[in-house]
Formats: sequence, C-alpha cells, structure tokens
Amino acid sequence: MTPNEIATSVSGLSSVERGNLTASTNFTYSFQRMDDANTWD
Amino acid sequence: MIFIPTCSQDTTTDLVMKELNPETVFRFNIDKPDDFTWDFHSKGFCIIDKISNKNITEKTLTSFYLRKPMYFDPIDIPKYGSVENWRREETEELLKEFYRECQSRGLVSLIKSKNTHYGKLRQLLTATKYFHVAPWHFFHGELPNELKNGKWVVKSLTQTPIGEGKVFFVKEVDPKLLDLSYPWFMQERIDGEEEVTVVYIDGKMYAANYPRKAFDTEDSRKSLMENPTAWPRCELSKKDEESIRGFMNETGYRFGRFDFIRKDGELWFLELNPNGQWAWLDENNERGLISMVADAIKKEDKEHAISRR
Repeated sequence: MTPNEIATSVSGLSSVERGNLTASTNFTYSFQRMDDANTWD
Repeated sequence: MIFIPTCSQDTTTDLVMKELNPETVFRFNIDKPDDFTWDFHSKGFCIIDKISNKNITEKTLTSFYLRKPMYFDPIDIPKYGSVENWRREETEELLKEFYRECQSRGLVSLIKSKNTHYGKLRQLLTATKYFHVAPWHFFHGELPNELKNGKWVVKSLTQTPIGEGKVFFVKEVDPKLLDLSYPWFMQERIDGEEEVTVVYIDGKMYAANYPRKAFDTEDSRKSLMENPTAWPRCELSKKDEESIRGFMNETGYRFGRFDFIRKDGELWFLELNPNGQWAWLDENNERGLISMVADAIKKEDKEHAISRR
C-alpha cells in the first residue's frame, strides 16, 4: 500500500461548502489542517 | 492592542474574540490581502484594516497572539514558481520575522518558557516519563520485526498535502501490506474505552472525553468532521493533573491541547497540539473554556502593556 491508498479523500466538498462549514461553528474541514499548523517555536 | 495573525476561516479565533474587548484586538487574516494595507519599516510598522478602518502600530501593539495565518485554497505551483505563491511566502515570512521580534521583546501570548521544539516524536519520548505510551516505529526500507504481529495504526508526522484532495488520518493498517519505499510512522493500536482531550492554559486544565465506540474510525477528527459533536467536560485525577504538569514543565509549553486514550482508567499519551483547535469543545462558552483562554490572554496583555511603559 502507498500513502495515497491509505489517505482519505475530503475533496468531495466544494470550496463553498468548506467555507460554509468552517464559517459556522462546526469546525469541520479546517480541523484537520489547522491542528498542527503554525507552531513557530 | 493584541495582534492576532490568522485566516478568515479560523473559527476558534472568532469565538475567542467574542470574549476580548474589540477595542483591544486587531485581527489580521492572511488570506484576505485586499482587506489590509501594511508597512513595516526601520522605525516601526502600521497595519490598517480597510474594512473597519482600525489600525495597529508599534505604539499600540502590546501582545502577539499567534493563531492560524495559513491558506485553505491550495494553488498549483509550477516548477519555476508562481507569483501567487511568491506573494504568500513573502507575507508569511514577514509575519514570522514579526513574531520572532515580538518573541525577543517578550510580547508573545502564552509563549513557551523554553526555546526548544518538541515535534511528535520528541513528545512521545518525553511522554514516557509521565504517561503510558504505545510502542511506535518510524521506518523505511524494511519492516521492523515488532510490526509483524499485533494491531498497528499508521500516522503522519506532517500535514503535507498528499495529492488528489486527500488528507492523512490515523488508520489501522496491516504493516505487512505497506510499500516500504515510503517512510512510515506506525504506533501500536491502543484499545481504550474513551478519548480524553485536555486543554492546558498556563497551569489550568479543561478536560473532555468521548467514548471510543462512538467513532467508526481510529481518528476522532474524521468523526468530528462528519458528525460534529460536543464532548462533555470530565474530571482528571490528581495523578493525571500532576503528569500533565510534569510534561508541560519539562517541555516548557504553557498552552496546548493534549490527546489521550483512557484504557483501564489510565491515560495513554497520543500528542500535544501546542497551537491546535480547541474552541469546538465548548463553542457556546457554556462551560467557560473560551473565557479561560481569553482571560489568560488578557492577563498577559496587561503585563505586556505595563512592561512596555
């Protein structure tokens, strides 16, 4: 198995849907990427 | 004034800002360049929010609260680069320089007390002194003997995009099936009763839990994405609190969100997110989590303001 075969697709969401989801308080799409980003220590 | 560099989609910042005095906060959304003008120069800086007409300068800055200055609309970068990528990189580097300067002047909110970075692997090494830690391997080329038996989950050390709109969640995989020409980060599966997350705010703790059987996947983030659910607040034992304090004292972090699995009553360490998302645990501030963080930022901001006089 390659990394591509193990990773999960979240691209089913359109950019508008992602924007709506993250603009609401559901914290959905943003959750994954935002968790680890920006620790500038 | 508290400077908060982030992006327009950072809902945690939306919620924290509700608990801060709007007059004392300047939010900078890196993904909205047309909303701002800015000038950094040899004698200081000025950033103007064109929408609200608010501004922040070297005279009014008291704190730098780092959130999420990042982009959610990825771009294709050709072999020789692109002007949009150049614009993004220049802006991010400016903010990093600004952050480092504020760091040296003692203006960063909830900053670490020690200047040492703890990535996921160093966290796991340190955590063995304070918590249970499941065996892990990061390997390439040959399958380690330990992985030939038992149940293992695959993880990712970075959040680097993998292509085709995919992200890397924690997933149970048979190690024998892996293509060993890639590097793999695997940890033995922990069959615990519940997930526990703890937000640590400069000595204070807010813990919440959720039964693992409620997830249909190893990675609770995937379940949260598909079915957003509030986690109830839970208590920690004195021993748990002492272990968390010990870990934070050793690493020097003063803020972060821990992820644990509780198995037979004991905490098994997964990771600490030093700048993670946490407001989803109490999005209406009914249990006071958002106030706890906002109060810590406000308290420190007062101290920064006094030290600047």
